[in-house]
Amino acid sequence: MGKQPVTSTATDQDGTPISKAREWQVVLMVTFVILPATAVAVVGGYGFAVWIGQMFFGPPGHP
Amino acid sequence: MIKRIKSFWRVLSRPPVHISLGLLVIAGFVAGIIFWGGFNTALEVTNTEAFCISCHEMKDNVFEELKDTVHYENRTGVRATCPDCHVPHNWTDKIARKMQASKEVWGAIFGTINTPEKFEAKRLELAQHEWARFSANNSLECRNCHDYDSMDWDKMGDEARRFMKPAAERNQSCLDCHKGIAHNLPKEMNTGVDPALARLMDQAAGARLTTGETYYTVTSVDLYTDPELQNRAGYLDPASSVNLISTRGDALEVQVSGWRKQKGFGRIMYEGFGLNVASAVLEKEVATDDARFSAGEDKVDDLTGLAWEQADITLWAKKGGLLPERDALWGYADQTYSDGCSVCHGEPAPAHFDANTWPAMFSGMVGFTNMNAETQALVLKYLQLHSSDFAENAH
Ligand code: HEC
Ligand code: HEC
Ligand code: HEC
Ligand code: HEC
Ligand code: HEC
Repeated sequence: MGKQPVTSTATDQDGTPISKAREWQVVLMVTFVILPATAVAVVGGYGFAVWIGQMFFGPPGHP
Repeated sequence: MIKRIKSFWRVLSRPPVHISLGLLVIAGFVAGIIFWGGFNTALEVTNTEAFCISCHEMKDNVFEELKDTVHYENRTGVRATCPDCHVPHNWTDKIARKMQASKEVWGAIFGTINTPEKFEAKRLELAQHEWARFSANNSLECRNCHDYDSMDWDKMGDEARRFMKPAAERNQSCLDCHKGIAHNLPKEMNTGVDPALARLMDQAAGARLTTGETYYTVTSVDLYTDPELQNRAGYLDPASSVNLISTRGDALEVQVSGWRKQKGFGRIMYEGFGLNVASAVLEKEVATDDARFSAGEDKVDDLTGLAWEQADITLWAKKGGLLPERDALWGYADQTYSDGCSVCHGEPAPAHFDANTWPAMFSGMVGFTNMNAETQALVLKYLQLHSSDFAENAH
C-alpha cells in the first residue's frame, strides 16, 4: 500500500475520490469508537488474564 | 461488509487529504482526555456503595446487616463502605476484581441468589471466597484503615489486648479472628454443626446394620439399660466402637468393650489398657453393678501403679448414630484439626505426643478455636488414637 505514490487525489477502490465527509467519518469512528473499545477490551482482557491466573496461583497475596 | 472494511482501511491507511494534521492531533488529544476521564469515572462509580446496592441481591441481605455494625455508624463518623473492604486498591487487582464481577452480573441475570433462601444456601460458599482472599492478602483491606503499629494496647479492652498483641507480633490476618465483622455469619457456622459432620450424621441415620458386626458412633450416643430406652445408663463418646448384638424396633442392643480403672466407681470405659482414651461414660448405678459386666483380664499399670480390668457391658441405644467404619470420621477430624489448630502456629503432628499427653495439650488450646463440644471430643479422640502410641501400626 505504501508503494502507491501519495497524491492529493487519492481515490477509493472504484476510483471515486475520497470525500471530506468520508474522511471525517473514518477519523471520528476510529478516535471515539474503535480505539476506546480496543483499550477497554485490552484492559478487560488483562483483568481476565489476571483473574484466570489467580485461579491457578491463588488470590493475590503479600510478597 | 468486507467491502466496507476495505474501503474504511483505504481511507485510514493514507495520509489525510482534507483534514489537517493539526486537527487530527487535537481530535486524538481530546478523545484521549475524554476516554481517560470516562474510564476513571466508570471505575469510580462502580466503586461506590450506591452502585453495589443497586442490585437487590447486595442490598437486601448484606447491606441490611452491615447497617447494624460499627462500620456503618459509630461515634467517630468514619465509615467503611463495601468497596473499602471488598475491592482491592492496587490497580491490577482492582481490574481483575472488576472482571471477576462478570460472575456477579451473570448471577444477577440468572438469579443465583435472588431470594433470601438461595442466598443463605450459597452464603457459606461466597463467604469462603472472601475469607480465602483476606487470608491470602493478610487482610490488606482492613489494614488500609487499621494498623497494628498504631494500636495502643493499654487503651484496649482486656480480652482484645490478650489476643491482639500476640497477633500483632505474628502479623496475623485480622479475619483469622474477626469473621462476621460486617455481616451475619453463614448459618452453618451459627448452629455450630459443620456441614461435613451433618453429612456423616445423615449417613449414620441411613446406615444398614448387621448383627454381629462392629460399628462406630459419629457423635455421642445415649445408652439405656432397657430396650424401651427409658432408663439411662450413660453415653458413648464419638468414634467409639460397639458390637451389635441384636435389634428390637428402634433400639439396638450393643456390647461395649474396654478397660476400667479399679478405683472409684469405674464409670469410664477406656479404649485400651493404660490409655486415657474414653469410649463410654456410665451412670454410677450402672458402673457399680458388677453383675452387668463380664470381667476379663486384670493388669497393673507400672507407670501409675493403678490396677485396670478388662470389661464388657451390654446396653441399649437408639438406632441411627452408627457407621460401619471410622475412616470418614477420621478424615473429618483431621480436616477440622488442621483448619482450627494451624491458625496461630503449625499444628503438631498427631504422633508428636502420646495418647495420655494429648488431653491436657488439647484442652489448653481448644478454647482458641470455634469447635463445638461434640467436635472437640471427636478431634481429641482422633489425636489420641493417632498419637505416638499408635503411630507404628498406623491406621
Ligand atoms: C449486578 C448486580 C450486582 C452488583 C452491582 C454487585 N453485586 Fe455483588 N454479587 C451479585 C451476585 C448475583 C452475587 C452472587 C454471585 C454468585 O452467585 O456467584 C454477588 C456476590 C458478591 C460477593 C461474594 C464474593 C464471591 O466472589 O463470590 C461479594 C463480596 C460482592 N458480591 C460484593 C459486591 C460489591 C463490593 C459490589 C460493589 C462494588 C457489588 N457486589 C455489586 C450481584 C451484584
Ligand atoms: C474505611 C476504614 C475501615 C475499614 C476498611 C475497616 N475498618 Fe474496622 N473500623 C473502622 C472504624 C472507623 C471503626 C470504629 C471506630 C470507633 O469505634 O469509632 C472500626 C471498628 C472495628 C472493630 C471494633 C469493633 C467494635 O465492636 O468496637 C473491629 C474489630 C474492626 N473494625 C475490624 C475490621 C476488620 C476485620 C476489617 C476488614 C474486614 C475492617 N475493620 C475494615 C474503620 C475501618
Ligand atoms: C488472634 C486473634 C485476633 C487477630 C488476628 C486480630 N484480632 Fe482484633 N481482637 C481479637 C479479640 C479476641 C478482640 C476482643 C473481642 C472483640 O472485640 O471481638 C479483638 C478486638 C479488636 C478491636 C476492638 C478493640 C477494643 O478495645 O475493643 C479492633 C479494632 C480489632 N480487634 C481490630 C483488629 C484488626 C484490624 C486486626 C488485623 C490487623 C485484628 N484485630 C486481628 C482477636 C484478634
Ligand atoms: C468492614 C468490612 C466490610 C464491609 C464494609 C462490607 N463487607 Fe462484605 N464482607 C466482609 C467480610 C469480612 C466478609 C467475609 C464473610 C464474613 O466474615 O462475614 C464479607 C462477605 C460478604 C459477602 C459474601 C456473603 C457473606 O455474607 O459472607 C457479600 C455478598 C458481601 N460481603 C457484600 C458486601 C456489600 C454489598 C457491602 C456494602 C453494603 C459489604 N459487603 C460491606 C467485610 C465487609
Ligand atoms: C489463638 C492462637 C492459637 C490457636 C488457635 C491454637 N494455639 Fe496452640 N499455641 C498458641 C500459643 C501462643 C502457644 C505458645 C504459648 C503457650 O504454650 O501457651 C501455643 C502452643 C501450643 C503447643 C505447645 C505447648 C507446649 O507446651 O509444648 C501445642 C501442642 C499447641 N499449641 C497445640 C494446639 C492445638 C492442638 C490447637 C487446636 C485445638 C491449637 N494449638 C490452637 C496459640 C494458639
